[in-house]
Amino acid sequence: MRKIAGLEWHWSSILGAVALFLVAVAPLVFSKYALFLMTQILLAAYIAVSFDFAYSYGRILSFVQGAFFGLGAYSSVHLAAAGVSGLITIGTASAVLAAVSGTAIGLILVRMKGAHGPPIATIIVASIVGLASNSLTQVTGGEDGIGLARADFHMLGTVIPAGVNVQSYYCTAIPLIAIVAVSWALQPTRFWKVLRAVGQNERRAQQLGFDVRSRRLVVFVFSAATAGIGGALYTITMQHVTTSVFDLSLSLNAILWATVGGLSDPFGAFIGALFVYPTTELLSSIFKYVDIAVGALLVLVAMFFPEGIIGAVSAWDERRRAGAMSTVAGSDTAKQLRQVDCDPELESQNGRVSSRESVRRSAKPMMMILSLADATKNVVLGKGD
Amino acid sequence: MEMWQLILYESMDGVVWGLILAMISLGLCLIFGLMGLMNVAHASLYMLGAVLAAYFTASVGLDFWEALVIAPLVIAALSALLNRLVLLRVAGRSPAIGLLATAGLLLVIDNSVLATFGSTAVPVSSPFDGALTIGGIPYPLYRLLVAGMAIIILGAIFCLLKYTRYGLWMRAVPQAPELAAAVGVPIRRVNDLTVLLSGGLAGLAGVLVAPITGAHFQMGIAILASAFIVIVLGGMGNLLGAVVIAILLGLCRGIFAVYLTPTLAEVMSLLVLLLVLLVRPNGLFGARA
Repeated sequence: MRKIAGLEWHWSSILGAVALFLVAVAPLVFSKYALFLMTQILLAAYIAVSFDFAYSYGRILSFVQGAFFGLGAYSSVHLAAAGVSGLITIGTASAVLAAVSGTAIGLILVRMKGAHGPPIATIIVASIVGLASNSLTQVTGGEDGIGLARADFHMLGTVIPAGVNVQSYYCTAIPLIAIVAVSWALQPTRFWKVLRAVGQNERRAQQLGFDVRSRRLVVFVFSAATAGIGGALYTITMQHVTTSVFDLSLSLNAILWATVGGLSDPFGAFIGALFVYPTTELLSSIFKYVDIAVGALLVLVAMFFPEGIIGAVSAWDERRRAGAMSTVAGSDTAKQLRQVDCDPELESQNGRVSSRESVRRSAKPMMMILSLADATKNVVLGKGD
Repeated sequence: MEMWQLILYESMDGVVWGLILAMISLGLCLIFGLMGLMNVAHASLYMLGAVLAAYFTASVGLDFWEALVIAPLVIAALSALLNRLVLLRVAGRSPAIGLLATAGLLLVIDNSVLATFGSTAVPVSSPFDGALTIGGIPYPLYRLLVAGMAIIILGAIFCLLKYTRYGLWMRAVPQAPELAAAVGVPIRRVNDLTVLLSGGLAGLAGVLVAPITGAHFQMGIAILASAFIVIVLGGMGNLLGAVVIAILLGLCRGIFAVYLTPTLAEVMSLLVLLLVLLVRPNGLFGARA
C-alpha cells in the first residue's frame, strides 16, 4: 500500500482509476454503438454501486435496489411529461422519492433480527412493487411502458438532448464518478471506518458505542437515492421505460455485477458492471434467454468466487507482498481476510467515541452533519491514518 | 348475488389460496429449519408443478390424477438433485452465499421454463366440474377438493413430525445438530427426506392450483412475496405460525378481492401484512433466528 496525496493506493484502486479514466474519455474514442453500450453499463453501475452500499455498509443484502431504480425512472418520465426540463430538478426529485421510499423500507429492515430477515423482506417489497406496477397500468403503462415526452433537457444553461449522445453520456457518468470517487476519497477517514465497522461487525461496533441502527438506515437511504438517480438518467438516455425495470431479475443482475466486481470496495461494483454487462449483452445477441446464464453465473460466483475481481486482485497483491506465504483465495476466508475486523484505531478511541456518540444520539439529525464534518476535516488535514 | 354472498365466496377462495400457500411455505420452513437456508428458488418449484401438470395433461396425454402423482415426484427428484449440487454446498456458509446461489437458481429455473414452454399462460382443465351450493351460492367442487386435500396433507405432515421417528429427527436436528449426530441420527438421510418432502409439497401445490389459475412461468415470482411474508410473520421457521399466517393472508386477499381486481387485492393484502411487519419486524410468533 503506497500513499500518494494522502490516499491509499492498492492495486485495486489503480484498476478502478483506470476504469474511471476509460469512462471519462470513452466518447472521444468510441463509436456510436459503443457509446450506447457504455451508457447502459454506467446505468447498470448505478444499481450495482447502490447494492454495494446497502450490502457492504448498510449490512442489508438488498434485492430491492432495482425497484428504487425503477422508481427514479418512472418519476422522471412523469416529471418530463409535466413539463419539467431541468435535469438537476429531475435528478434531485427522483433521488428524493427513492430516498423517502428507502426510509420507509429501511425502518423495517434495520429493526429485523437474524441474518435472513432483512434480505427476505427486501424480496417481499420488490415483489410487491413488481405486482403493483403491473396492475397500476395507468401510471406505469404496463409492459408496453411509457415514452419520454420531451426531446431536450437543460442543465446549468446548456441543452442536453434526450437519448444517447455525448452530453447525456457525461450527465450519466459524472454523478456516478463523483459518488465512486468520493467514497474512495473517504476511505481513510474515521467516518468511513466507522461505516465499515458497522458493515463488518455490527455487534462489535455497537459495543464500541456507535449508533449502528441509524447508520445502517442512513446508508440504506443513500443507496436508494443512488439507484434513484440512475433510474432518472435511464429515462433520459433510453427515452422509454417499462415495468420490466421492476423485475426481480434486474436486482439479481445488479447483485451479480457487484459481486463479480468485488464487494465493499469503492470500485468493485463499478468494475463488475464494466466486465459483466457487456458479456451478458453479447450473449443475449446469440442466445435469447440470457437470464439462464446470468442465474447460473450467480450460483457459481456465490459458491466459488464470492470475493470477486477486486478481491482476487487484492489477494494476489497481498500474496505478492507476503512472498510465498500461504493464501486463502477461493474461499470465504479470502473475503474475511480483507475485512479488518474492527479498526484498532476505533477500538482505542473507545471511551472518547462513546461519550461523543451519546451526545450525538441526543441530537440525531446532527449526527450525519457532525460525521461529515469529521470526515471532511480528516481529508483536508490529510490525517487519515 | 348479494353482498354477503360475494364476501362468503371470496373468503372461501381466499382460504383455499391460503391453504395452497401454507403447503408451499411449510416446505420453505422445513428447509430453513434444517439447513438454515432460505431457498429463494422454492417458489419456482411450485411454478414447475403447474407447468408440468399442463405439459403432462396437454402434450403427454396423461389425465389430471396421473399428473397429480407424477409431477410432484419429478419435482421432488429435481429438488434432491439441486440439494446435492447447490443447497448442501452453501448450507452453513454465510447466509448471503445461500441467498445469492438460490436466487441464481430461480433465474435458471424460471427462464428455462420460459425458453421451453413459452410465455403464454396454459389453461389446465379441471378434472371435474360441478358445484356445491353453500349459503345460496354455487361454489366449485374442485376448489373444495383442493382445500380438503391441502388440509389432509398439512395434517399428515404435522403427524409425521410429531409421531414418527423421522419427524422426531427432523425436529431434533435443527435444534441441536451436533447432539443429534452424536446420538446417531442419520443426518444425511434426514436432510434428503426433508428436501424431497419440501420439493414434493411445492410441486403438489402447483399441480393443484393449475386447474384454477392455469400454468405460467411467472407464477413462482408472483407468489414469492406471499410465501416469504408468511415465513417472516410466522416467525422464521415456526411451522404452525406459517400455516396460520398463510390462511390469514388468503382470507385478507379474499376480502379485498370483493372490492378490487385480483392483483390489486393481492398487493393490498401484502401491504397490510407489511404494515404488521413494520410494527413487529420479527414476526408474530417469535423468531428462531
